[in-house]
Amino acid sequence: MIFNSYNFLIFFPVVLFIYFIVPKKIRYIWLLIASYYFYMCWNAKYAILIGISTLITYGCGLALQKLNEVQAVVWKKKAVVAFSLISNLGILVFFKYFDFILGNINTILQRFNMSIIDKPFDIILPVGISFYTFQALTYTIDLYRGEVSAEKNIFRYALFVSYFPQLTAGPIERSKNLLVQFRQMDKIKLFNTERIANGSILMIWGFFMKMVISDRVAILVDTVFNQYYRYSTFALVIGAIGFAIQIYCDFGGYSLMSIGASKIMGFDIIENFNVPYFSRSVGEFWRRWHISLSSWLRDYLYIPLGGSRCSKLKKYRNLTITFLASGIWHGAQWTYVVWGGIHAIYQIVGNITKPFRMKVVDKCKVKTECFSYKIAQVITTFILVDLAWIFFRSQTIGDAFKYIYFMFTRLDCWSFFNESIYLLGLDRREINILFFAILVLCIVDLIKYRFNINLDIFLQKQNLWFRWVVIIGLIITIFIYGIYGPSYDAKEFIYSQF
Amino acid sequence: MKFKKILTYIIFFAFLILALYKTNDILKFKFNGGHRIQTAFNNLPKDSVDILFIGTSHIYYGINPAVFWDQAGIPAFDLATSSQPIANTYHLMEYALKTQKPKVVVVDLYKMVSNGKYFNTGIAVKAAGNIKDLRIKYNSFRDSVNQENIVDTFLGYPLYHSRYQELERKDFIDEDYDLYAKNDFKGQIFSSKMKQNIEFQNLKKIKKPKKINARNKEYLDKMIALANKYNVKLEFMIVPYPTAKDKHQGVYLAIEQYLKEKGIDFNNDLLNIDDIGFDYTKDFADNNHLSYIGKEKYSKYILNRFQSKYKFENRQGDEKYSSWQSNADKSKAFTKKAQMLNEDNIVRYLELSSEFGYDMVLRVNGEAAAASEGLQGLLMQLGVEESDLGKKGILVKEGDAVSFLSKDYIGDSWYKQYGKDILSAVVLENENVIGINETNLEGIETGIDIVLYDSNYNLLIETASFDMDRNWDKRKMKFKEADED
Repeated sequence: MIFNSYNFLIFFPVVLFIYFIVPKKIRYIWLLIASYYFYMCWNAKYAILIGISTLITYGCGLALQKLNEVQAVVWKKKAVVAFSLISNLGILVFFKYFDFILGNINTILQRFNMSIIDKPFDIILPVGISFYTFQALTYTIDLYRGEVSAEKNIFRYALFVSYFPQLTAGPIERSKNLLVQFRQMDKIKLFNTERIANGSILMIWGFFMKMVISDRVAILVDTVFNQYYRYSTFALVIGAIGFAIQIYCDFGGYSLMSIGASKIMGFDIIENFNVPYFSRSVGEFWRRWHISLSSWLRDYLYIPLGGSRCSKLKKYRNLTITFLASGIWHGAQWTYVVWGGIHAIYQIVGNITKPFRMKVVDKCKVKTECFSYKIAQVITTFILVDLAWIFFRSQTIGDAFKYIYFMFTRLDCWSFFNESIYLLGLDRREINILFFAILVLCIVDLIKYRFNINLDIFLQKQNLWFRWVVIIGLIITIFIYGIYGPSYDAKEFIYSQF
Repeated sequence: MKFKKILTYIIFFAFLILALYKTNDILKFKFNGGHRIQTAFNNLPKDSVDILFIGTSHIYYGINPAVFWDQAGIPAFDLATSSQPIANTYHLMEYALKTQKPKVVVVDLYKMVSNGKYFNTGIAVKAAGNIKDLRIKYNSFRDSVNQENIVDTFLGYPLYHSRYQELERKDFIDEDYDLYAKNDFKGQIFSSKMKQNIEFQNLKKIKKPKKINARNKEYLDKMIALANKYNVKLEFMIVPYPTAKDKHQGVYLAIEQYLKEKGIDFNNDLLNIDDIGFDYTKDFADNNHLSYIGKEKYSKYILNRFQSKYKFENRQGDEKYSSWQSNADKSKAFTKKAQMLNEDNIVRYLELSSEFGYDMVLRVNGEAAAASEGLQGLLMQLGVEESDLGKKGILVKEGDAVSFLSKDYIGDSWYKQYGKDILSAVVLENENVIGINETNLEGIETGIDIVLYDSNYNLLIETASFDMDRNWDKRKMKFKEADED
């Protein structure tokens, strides 16, 4: 089930109610049952996979703990880690990349006029496999590094892997954060009204981002991207910006729902988005976007490869590998790989040209501490990121290149002044609603950027009447302007199929 | 402190529920032929209906409860939905009998000729959208909607939450003067349309019955059982409709035989059209429904039939039934309106408007002011001074008071509010402007433009132009048409 569905609106309150009334010693059992039920609503058979991943990493955890206790030689510990990595990643590669790999092999075979390999069976991508696999692997690696102790209770560990609020689309949690909290679950104060209220506010805001903004702008984005060859610069720019908003609000909204739901139950999970489009560089963007994944790749791939504590060439190599891995993690398509590669290029080129750019800024006596400089950086970063998003969204690399080409060559300035925007799938009223909703989003994100607090904390500091107006206003807005019902397909979260 | 916190949350949730309730109230569907009828039914005093008609649009276009009230003091109600399938008719009957104990329930069986598979969400929503009994509501959707749509149609707001795109005044305010206002609406819907040259097939020649659809028959039996359970007299009928085919009559024959065995009355009025005495140039609005004239005629016909079979108490004067009196008065107002809409002769038009006591704004354009002696005579009859004849201007008739705004008095203006409408007239340098709210009237170049209002009901009757260059042909104005279902 997805968060914005009737099933979840019944499921979550029931889970919560029972969670609050069961004896605290078995709360985790109840959450485990609820999490598996949640996952099996997608496809019951794939619960076996998550179970296998759980058992492997649990077993490896116990083995590592034992090896640590007897101070075994390093290669034995590495072997255990390798086994965990290979088996889990093997499952991930098989289910997610088998068709992709086979397709590419067949493309090569066809080039050499050889007969292609038939697909022996159909494989359906299990929902959230990329997320829970990475989450399970953090446990193994953290154990190896001695950052966390092994979990002896298999049910508690299974909950860590399958915890439903972040199972299907993240954030990817670390064992040293979430598992530790699960171990102290019986110490959580049940009816902390402030915590429950804050969690609810985050969920409501997440629903707003997803249902009012993301699903609405998706209509416009689909209209443009599905037939990009018909459109000129104006529409293509709007489509690209629209997708940047769509993916942020979809993914960011889901993350907030996940964080909010966890908060209600007494758990603090990692923040996943920190106003990414206010970034002043691509590097900063990756510290603000999909934080759980980018930090995972930094800690478990980039730094083990050497990070930036090596020669420049090696550093660029490490960056490239990390971003290509990020790309391929998002999907079994070359467009994602290219998207990742583009970000690697941005980082490398940015790094190489930094001294030159600083020299130019200095020579031209450009003021760097003023608003105009900062806003120019923000806009430039957004443009770079958005150009890369075009590859992420397009069906093929060729489509992406054509999209960008048309965007720069089919100039139609007059479209800014006529009513072309209302021909992109959303009428005047819907565009007005969208603009207003995005304005609200900008205000909330500005508050976050300026004061480094989320909406829930910001509202807690306000007077009661203001809190109520905002919360009731958001709920009513979702009720009226949310994209749901028979007129619309329930827009599934973009990241659920990763 | 804890108590204060709990109280705060209770008040918060109370506000939230109130906001959601009000929002839902505004957004929910308000179809005239369906929702508003059910809303009016829900608003009836308990056990106040003596004759309950249930069925399709044939009922609400064909039978006027106001006739039953006016002529015999019988409180009747049309509980019907456009194209309502038999399954939904059954559930509506089940719902109705929970709060009403009519002397007679009359069910229109037009939909017995359909194939029994109903998965039209829109029709189902109209047929059950305002049923308050959740069990019956759910069953009604279960029996008429695709499985995947049941939850959405039952909840309702997933279907209508996007109605913010089309909200009207009636979504916010239930105006008393609106015919379909819940306080006195009795289910009848008016059509002022008239289709000429209607022809019926000779159905009397059909002698061979056709098989009744099994699913429809199942619900027919359920309705009979329901009537027995509530101990109400049940009848079935067919309201005459010109598109009746031979195969329909075949089904009706089978139904007639079946009901005869059960001792239940079935009046197939398709076979009685000669007795009813329809005028085929006026009595039908279209190929399926009666016009406002045909409705009156047919209602009187079936009233006579009921009166010959049953004894009804005359409820006129009883305070409990006062809404039927106000409905009857409104019904007359709408009948007059329909008459005006169908009157094309300018002389007769102006005579009728005076006879009906309408407020009128009349603008004389172009050469019409001076050209037509006949028009000048008419204007004098309406109260225009002889000295003002021949001038371009605007005549305003408000009740008995008449004034003529002309070029002699540039800047002369007049306005009056009729419920939600503000009608205004002003003489400017280069033009004479008539407007309703913010919209100006675009009239005829040479001729007269007329706006009529019934001030008793704040009802816009018509905005019409009579073209002098085309032999005073009548045509509609270019803006804002009078509301008509």
